[in-house]
Amino acid sequence: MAGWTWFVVALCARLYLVFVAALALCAVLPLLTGLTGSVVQSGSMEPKISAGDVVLVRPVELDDPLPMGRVITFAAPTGSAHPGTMLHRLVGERSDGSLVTAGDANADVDSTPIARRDIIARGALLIPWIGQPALWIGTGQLLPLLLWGGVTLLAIAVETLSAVLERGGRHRGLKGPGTRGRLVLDTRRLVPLVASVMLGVTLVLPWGAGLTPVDAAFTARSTSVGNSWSAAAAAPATRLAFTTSPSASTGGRVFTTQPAVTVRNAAGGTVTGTRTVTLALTTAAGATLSCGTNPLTSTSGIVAFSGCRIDKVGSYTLTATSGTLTPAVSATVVITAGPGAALRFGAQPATTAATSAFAIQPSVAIVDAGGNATTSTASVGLALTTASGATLTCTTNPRAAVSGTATFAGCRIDKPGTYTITASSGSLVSAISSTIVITSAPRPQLVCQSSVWYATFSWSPTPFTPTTYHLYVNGVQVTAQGADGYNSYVQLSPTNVPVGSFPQGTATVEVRKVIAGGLEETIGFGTVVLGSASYRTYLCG
Amino acid sequence: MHAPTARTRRFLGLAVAPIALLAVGVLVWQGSSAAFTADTRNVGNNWATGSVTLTDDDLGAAAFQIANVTPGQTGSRCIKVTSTSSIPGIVKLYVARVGAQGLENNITVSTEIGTGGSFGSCTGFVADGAALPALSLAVAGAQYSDYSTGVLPWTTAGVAAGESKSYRVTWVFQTGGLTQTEIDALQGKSVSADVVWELQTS
Repeated sequence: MAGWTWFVVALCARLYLVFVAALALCAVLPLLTGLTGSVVQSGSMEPKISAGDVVLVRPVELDDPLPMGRVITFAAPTGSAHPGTMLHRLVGERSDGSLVTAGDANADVDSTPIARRDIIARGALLIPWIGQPALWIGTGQLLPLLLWGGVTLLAIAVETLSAVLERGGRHRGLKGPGTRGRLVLDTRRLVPLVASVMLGVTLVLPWGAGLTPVDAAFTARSTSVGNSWSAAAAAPATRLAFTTSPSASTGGRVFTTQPAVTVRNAAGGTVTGTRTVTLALTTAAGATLSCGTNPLTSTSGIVAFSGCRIDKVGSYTLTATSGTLTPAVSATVVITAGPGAALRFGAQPATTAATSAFAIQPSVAIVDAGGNATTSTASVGLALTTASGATLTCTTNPRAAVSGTATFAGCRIDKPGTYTITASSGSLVSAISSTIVITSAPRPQLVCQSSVWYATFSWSPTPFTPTTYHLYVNGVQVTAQGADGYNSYVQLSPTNVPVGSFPQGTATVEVRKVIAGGLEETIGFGTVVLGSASYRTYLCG
Repeated sequence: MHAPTARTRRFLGLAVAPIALLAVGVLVWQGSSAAFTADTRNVGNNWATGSVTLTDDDLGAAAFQIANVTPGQTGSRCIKVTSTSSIPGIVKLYVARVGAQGLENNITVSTEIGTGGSFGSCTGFVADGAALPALSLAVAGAQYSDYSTGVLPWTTAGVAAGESKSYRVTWVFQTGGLTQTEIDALQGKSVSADVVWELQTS
């Protein structure tokens, strides 16, 4: 029984050694015919090609037919997880001529296509397992390597021992060594030697035979599929909407919060696109809405107004309109009177004689920016807009306002002309009155008393102090007869208005008072009718 | 039963070598013809042998299906990718199948890689630091179209029980620099894209 066991073990050892040696020969011998070999490094070509197999490949030239469907080696695309040479199957060609490869064991084709020129060779011969020791060495897997080495050495040992025993048995046997026996003996002695050599060959196969590693990398993919984004469709605009209503303000002051209007579609979405929106008071009631720009064109479906204000005190709503779109009405905005901002003439003087007080005395109201009355008590001053040598005088100027209005009294202008009056008060916007025409003051008339042969012109008041008067007749100074210093009359007679100097007819009479510095001041005017030279009379004109 | 006779031993001993040689010949012949004949690929038909898988937690749902986006709108989503492989490798991300329907230049996508968070919520997501800056889908689809050009490499250790990374993807409807007319022209336009994570063993 022991004999059989030993025999079977020896037989298995021999079988194994011959098998390994034959595989090694298969991997090496074809290299002589121009094939090149590679050791497969990983298992994505399972089940047909496994890691540790040796693949012998035949180079593919550019003008060779495309090895579609065949296993090829090619340069791994730049960026691959494992650079070097890849072993995958060529599975397709894209319309742009690039080639699609895949590992047989991969669910997906390789994501990076290759070019025709990337193909190095196509598989020709597959030698199973024989590259495994080299792969173990390459990947540092010592345990399987040692295990395999141990088994193989054991097989060599068994074979060697078996040969020795066989020879010993034959020596003890009945038959002497014959030609056949010698042959057997020689063969059996050769087997361990050959096996040892092949073991070494197998170990150093990749290096000795120039075998290169090829990678059949696994690939797996996970996809977040069908992500999509779509912009809102262009639904037509149907209406306007106030997205911001104006805030309360004072008259004429810009709203702190400016109104904004959005162009909407039926679903309430903002409709971008260019639209012109007009803003107006829903009910004006004499008030005025003014904005920086109105109408205004929308931006991204929004019309943001600026600089909007309402002048008059009151409660209002704004209405936004744009063509056929449904208008929008804002929330109520309340306008109250603000602080004084400007002056405005109430009563204005009319045409008046110089130096006389105006029949209508001016009054000036202090109003807010919108022109609304205020309760200001600021002081208001009046002045001629352009003096031209004239002077405006009033009883009190400047004058403080009462309940927002400054009422003046006793105002007059001393010289004839056409004027306007400017009212001003600190930083408030000043006001200019309408035009005032000042006529000349009335000419003072002397009182005439005729006695046919002479005429007496008197005036008042009587000075009662020594006063010099000059008398002019037809512009010619004559002796002021009668005006002796204390009286207030002159007498025209042949003495001072002789026939020879003054012809018949109406003559003008003017009396002037001599004042300080030799200047004269008109006291009054009069006219006298001079009679004929032969019968000269002096009658009042 | 006695020990084998010398005849038996000699006969079997001599027969062993041809049998082994024959076996090798058959193996090489069969293996070569099976592996190296032209083969029509049937996608995934051998997948059962694969010990390498890459899965995510979206259960097949798209991360983003956003309708009626308006300029400036933004959103983000996390997705957890799990590699199950006994072999180390590198996972990269790329954009595939960009369905350009007018919005491809205006939807920008930025991606961060990190840990934590899930498809349902980004709560707990912590970025590793590596990130893909915001790029329009058109640019991303052109620059990062396959594994070779893929980005955010994640070197897996090869844990058969599975190892995970989370990715946070943030999109923005970008209309900066466009005129109102150009923005208006985007109404009703759309874009679609797949985000692919690919593992290659190294």
